[in-house]
Amino acid sequence: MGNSRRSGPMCTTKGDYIDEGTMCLSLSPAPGPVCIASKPEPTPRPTEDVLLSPVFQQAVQITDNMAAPMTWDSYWRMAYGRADKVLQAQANELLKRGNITRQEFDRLVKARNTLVEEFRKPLSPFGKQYSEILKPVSKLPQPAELLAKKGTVEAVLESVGKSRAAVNRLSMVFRVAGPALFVLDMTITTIVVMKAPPDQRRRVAAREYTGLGVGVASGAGGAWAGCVTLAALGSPTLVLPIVGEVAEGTLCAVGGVLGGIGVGWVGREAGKAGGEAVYDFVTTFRWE
Amino acid sequence: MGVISRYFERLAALVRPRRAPALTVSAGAEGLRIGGEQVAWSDVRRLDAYKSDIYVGDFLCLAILAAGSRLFEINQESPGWKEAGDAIERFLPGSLPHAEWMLRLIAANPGESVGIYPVTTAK
Repeated sequence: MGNSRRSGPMCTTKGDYIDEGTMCLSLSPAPGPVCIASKPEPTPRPTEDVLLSPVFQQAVQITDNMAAPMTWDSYWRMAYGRADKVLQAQANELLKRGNITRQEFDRLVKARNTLVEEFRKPLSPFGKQYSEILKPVSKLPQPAELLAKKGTVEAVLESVGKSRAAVNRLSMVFRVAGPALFVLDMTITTIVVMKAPPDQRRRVAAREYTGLGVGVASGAGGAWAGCVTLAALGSPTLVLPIVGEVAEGTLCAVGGVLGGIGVGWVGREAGKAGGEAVYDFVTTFRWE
Repeated sequence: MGVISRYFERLAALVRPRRAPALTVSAGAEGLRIGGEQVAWSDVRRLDAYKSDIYVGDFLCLAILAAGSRLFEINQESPGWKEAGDAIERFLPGSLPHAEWMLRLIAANPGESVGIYPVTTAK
């Protein structure tokens, strides 16, 4: 079978005709290899090949709304732990040396109190509330039947260790999962923006990034609200020593997670709608 | 951030009942007075200070076991906390000096305790 070709002019640039008639007047191609189009076919953007499951997208966004503020707090916890190591070393040095003056003692205690105070300042509302709830309440002797549940001094000291282990686990989860979730959320949001048609991209960007910001902020508020609400429901259990405190702390953490998820999701959707509305207003508004 | 924090604190006060204020503690030659309860020095059986983990930071507490299995707990926010520490050193022979147990407590990891009376090694 012989070769064939489509009818039409050969070796001209495509679409660069300068005469609408039958004359083949066209722009000369730029110097280079012969017989290729002057405008190469655009290569598809990498984001066009990415399949984004809406369920996965929602799951990441909802979890990140809740996790972002808790991740922030867990890093402050880690930072406090490191700063506390310095104080511990100073205290050990003084103990080894012995013969501690009152002034040195007062200075170290003051430094320790200031450290705790300063590290709690930048916490999210949830972090502050959770810290407050974990503070043991000073107590007078309980009635005999409640005291039996508490047991001895050993039970009190043991519960302090258990409480620390639980808080450590919670903090570790957020420290590891939080940054990964945030990066994933940012990536997904960017892909959604890049996949939008070029003429809609700015509008989609306004919607998605505003949604992300408002979602995370709402998650912080929701975590606090959830903590306060569930802890308030659990606070009557405080009449049971140890059990009450552990229950209230756990309820605060569970409430924080649920509140962060729920309010964060509402905030994300409201943020998306708000971002879109603001974009439309700004781009269509004209001074009369 | 400060404005937002204050707003949340006010909301928290509305939503959640305030925690009971820390018990006032005072001390003298006759013993310790915690809240409305009196504990004579001769009735003190055991004193343990512990460092409680409060998520970001830690909180210093003191468990007092008195005769009749009465168990009291006071903490660093209790009015008279510092003075009580000085009084324990002064009126309870055989207890650790105030500066020493406080330093041991600061040197301890959150969740650990320091035996003040009778003196034991740190747990």
